[in-house]
This record gives sequence, C-alpha cells and structure tokens, in this order.
Amino acid sequence: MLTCFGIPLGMMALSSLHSDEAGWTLANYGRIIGSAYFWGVLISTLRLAAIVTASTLILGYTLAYYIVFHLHNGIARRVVYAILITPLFTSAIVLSFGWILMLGPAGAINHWLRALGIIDRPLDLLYSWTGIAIALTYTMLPLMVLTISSVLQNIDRVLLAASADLGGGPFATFVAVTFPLSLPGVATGSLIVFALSVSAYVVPSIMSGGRHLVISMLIYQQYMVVFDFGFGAALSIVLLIVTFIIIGIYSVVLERSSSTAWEPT
Amino acid sequence: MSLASYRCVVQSVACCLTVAVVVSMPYATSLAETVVHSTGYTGVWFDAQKACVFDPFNAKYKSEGLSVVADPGLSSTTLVRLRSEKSKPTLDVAWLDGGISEQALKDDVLDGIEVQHVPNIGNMSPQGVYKTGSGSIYALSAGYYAQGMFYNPSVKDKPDSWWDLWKPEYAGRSIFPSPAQAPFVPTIVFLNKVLGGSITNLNPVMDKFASLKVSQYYEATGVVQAALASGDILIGSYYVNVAWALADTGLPVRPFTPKEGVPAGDIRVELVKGAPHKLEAEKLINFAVSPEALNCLAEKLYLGPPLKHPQLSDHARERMPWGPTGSIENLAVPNWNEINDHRAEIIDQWNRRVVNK
Repeated sequence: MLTCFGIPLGMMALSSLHSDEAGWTLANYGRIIGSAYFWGVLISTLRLAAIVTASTLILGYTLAYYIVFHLHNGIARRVVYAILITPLFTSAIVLSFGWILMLGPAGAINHWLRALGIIDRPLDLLYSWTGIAIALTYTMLPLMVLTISSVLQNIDRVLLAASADLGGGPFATFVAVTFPLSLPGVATGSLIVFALSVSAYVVPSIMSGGRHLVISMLIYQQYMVVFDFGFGAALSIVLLIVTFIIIGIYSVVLERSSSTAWEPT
Repeated sequence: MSLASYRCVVQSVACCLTVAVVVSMPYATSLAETVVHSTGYTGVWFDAQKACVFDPFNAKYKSEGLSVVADPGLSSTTLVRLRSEKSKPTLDVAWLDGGISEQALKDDVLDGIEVQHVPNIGNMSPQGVYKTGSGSIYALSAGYYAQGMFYNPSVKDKPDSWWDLWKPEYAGRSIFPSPAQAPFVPTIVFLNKVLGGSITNLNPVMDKFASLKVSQYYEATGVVQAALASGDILIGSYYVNVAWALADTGLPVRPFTPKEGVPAGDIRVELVKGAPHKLEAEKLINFAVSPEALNCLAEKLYLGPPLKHPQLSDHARERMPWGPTGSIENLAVPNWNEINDHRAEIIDQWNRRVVNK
C-alpha cells in the first residue's frame, strides 16, 4: 500500500508545492482556488461522472437483474457474461474509435434513425458531452453489472418466496426486499464507476474531439504540453480531495439507507 | 546411493547450472554487445526511422557488437522522461521536435555534440545545425515538415487559404490540431501574426477560432486517418508530408499550401546529457544525419532534408515542405524560445476562449 500508493502520492503532493519560478510555494493551489475557470472544468467533469454513474446504474441493474433472476440456462448466462465483459479486455482507444464510427453523421446510429424515419438530419452526437457519456457508459457498464449481480445472486430466495406468500407482487417484492438487499452492490458499483469516470482520460480525450475539456485532459496538458509539473500535480491533488469528499458523503448516505432496510430476524 | 537420492542430486545440479547460466547471460551479452538506447516517434514516423536509421545502423554495426534499441513516443513524453531521469539517464539519444528541443536545452538534459565525432555535420545545411550562444551544438535536424492544409477531392471549389476553414459549406466538416499536437502552438502563433496580432496579443486568433465550427481538434494523428477514411472531413490542417503519405495510400486527401504561408518545424536528433554510451550514441547520431539516412527519410516521409546537396526523386521533390522548387530558405521556422516563453499562456487562453463553448 505504501509503495504502490503512498510514496507516489506523496511525491506528487511534494511536486504540487513547487514551481520553477518561485521554488517551494502554495501558488499552484492559489491559481486553482482563485479561478472560476478551473472550478468550471472540475464541475463539468463531476457532472459527466455523475451522468455516467446514473446511466450505468440504470442499465447495469436491469441487466444484472435479468441475468440473475430470468436467465436460468447456465450456458446462456456464461455467454452473456462473456459478451458483457468484452469491453474490459479491449483497449480504450479501440473502443473510442469504434464509437466514433457509430456516432458520426454517417455512423450506424444516425443511419438507422434516419432509415426508421425518426430523424430527418443526422444528430450531432460525435465530439459532444453526449458522445463522451455514451462511450464512458459502455466502458464502465461491465463493472456495474458484475458488482450488482454478485450481490443479487447471494440474496436468499426464501425471502422472495416469503414476500410472495404474504401477498407481495413482483414489484412490491423488488421494492421492499430485492432492492434494499442489493444496496451494498449498488454502492460499490457506483463508487467504482464514479471514481473511474472522474479520472478517465483516453475516452474523453478522443470522444471530445478537443472541443470539451475534463480535468484529466487539463492535467495531461500541464505535464505533457506546458511542462508545468507542479501545477499538474496541484490539479491532481485537488481532484483527489474533491473525489474523496464526494465518495465519503455518498458512502455515509448509502450506509444510512442500508441500515434502515428490512432484514430477516 | 539409492535411485531416489541419485535423482535428487542430478536434479539439484541441473537446477543450479540452469540458474547460473540464466544469471550470467546478461553479463555475457553485455561483454560482447553495446546497446544504444534511443527514442523514436510513433506510427508512420517510427516506421520511417526504423527503415532509414535504426535497422540500417544495426546491420552496419552488428559485427562490432553495437546495436540500437528505440522506444517509440511523442516528443513531449521523451522530454518528460529526460527530465525525470536527469540524474541517471537511461537514454543515449533523443529525437525531439523543434521547440521541444529548445525546452530540453533549457532543462539542461542535452549534451553538446562534438563535430569530430559526427563528421556528417559537414554535409548539412547550416540551418539544420542548432547551436547555443557559446557555439555548442545541442541538436541536429533530421528533416523539415510544414503544418499545411488538405482538402477532400470531392469539394466543389478547391480551397487555397487558411480562412477557408470558416466557410459555411465546411461547418462541422473540418479538423485542426489540438494543444496535444506539437504544431498547435506554432500554428496558432503564425495565424495570429497573419491576423495582425503578436505574441503578447493573442486576441485576433482566439476570437477567430472561437467562431470556427470545427468537427474536432484532433489529439492524435491516428484520429485524423480515421476521420479521413470515414469521408466526414472535407478540409483541415495537418502535416503536409504525412498528408501526402496518406494520399499515396488512396485516402481522399489532397495537401495544399495556403496562400498565407505555413509554419514549419523539424524533427531533430540530440545527445542526452550523461548518456551511458556517449561515444556510441554519437555514432548513431552521425549515422542518422548521413546523406543516406536523410534522403531516405525524405523519400519515405517527404521531410525536407537539411542537406547542402539533397538527392531526391521527382516524386519526393514535388512533396517537399518548401514546394517543388524551393529550399530551406523558403521555410518560416518559428522563434521557438519566444514561443516556449508564452506556451502556457497560449494554451490557457485557448482552453478558456475556444474550448468548452
């Protein structure tokens, strides 16, 4: 933990307190805190990560629920899992290029929407926040599905049967029994997806077309284009602190929600 | 001795011998062979460096036990590596673009190249030999390129100006480099000058680009190839030499030099300060700037060779960054030190005024 996380983080924190012009200084942090622009980029990044988390949660929970409760054939289940985790084995660059072809004006999505008569002119999906969100959702979906399905699988079926015996329909059983018991999986999946989305670089940099900026792209610019290592490190530390705060608040809220969920005696 | 004991002894001896051989192999190899560590570029650039420099160098010096191992990468990643390894470099030779080379000099990660160890300097044009104020050579050019423009042959009216990017018929169908691309900053500075601005007054070019309806500001050259292959792009700015190479593969792209002119740059080879194999590194540098290597790079990548007497085919001569009949004298090479001093401010203004609109 110390070698792989603590020491690199410590070195980055030290670097953030140094600038070529002024030596040891807090000026890098002053530049960030006093600038509405950098906070704007950070807020855009957090908003994107929140949208991706919500999208993967809705899609991922639906898929996980279907796989666990409705896909009874073992072979079919394995095939579906294999298809679902394929993005994890594919380079983010290759995935992004695939989405560029799908979302372009002459891409598959616009082609079928026009063929079905739903739109007259191609939608502007590429190199937009929508395109970035779609590509990131696709990349993160396997993580959410695997996390939630592992929790759903461990729900005692006796509880679901008991709910049915007591007159609860499928929806009532889901709301009162299944969903509350799956909250740990929801929390874990959401945290993983949010943390990875907020720090994602490859997918946003390709899918943005240089027309939009997230904080990871700004950090890359400072290191690789402007060569201001200190400011890049300061941006990284600020991102880390803000992400920790958000994750902490989310964990507390979810923990309180889980503790009020029904538990068998 | 029982059979089991005998087997155990044999297995133990075999194991020890194997370990001894494996452990001593690198030492044995290093006694017989010296490996020069160099960086290279990426994609088609690296392919050309491999064909024109690295592979021929290995073939020539194989019998002397000298070889080169090249790591592909961008100039910026190479500079980051040089900075982080400053106290104990693992690289001997670095390939850096113009501008990044000056930054590396400022960061004190480059060593002076000795003319007596690199006699091929005598064949080079003076513009391709970069010296410090005290006369020490810090970089040698390996070829010039220009950041020009291209159009899709399907367009009705052939464009001839940078400002054609703003024509309504090209709205959403044009591309331009992003700050991650090395030519971005010098191109912005060049266009700002054309618009009447200066290095301290970037308003003209920032206002102009804020109104551009571009498809994308590309971060990687591979993205350009994908965009060209899709047919979505009608016009854009790209390396003239690489655009010609793509046209040769059949992609719908025709390079042209806008009437306002084009900013030029070059790829350079440098000696790393504190290089573990300095003399061998200078051998590689001498090979890289030989007429054979420079003419080869010109034929493969259409880079303008920094030679007093280049030997080019008619095919390559037509695709030179200075045009079919020009020379190095016709290139508008930027003031890199001035650009580097304002690099952070240029990128900051771009992010605030053009991106995230």
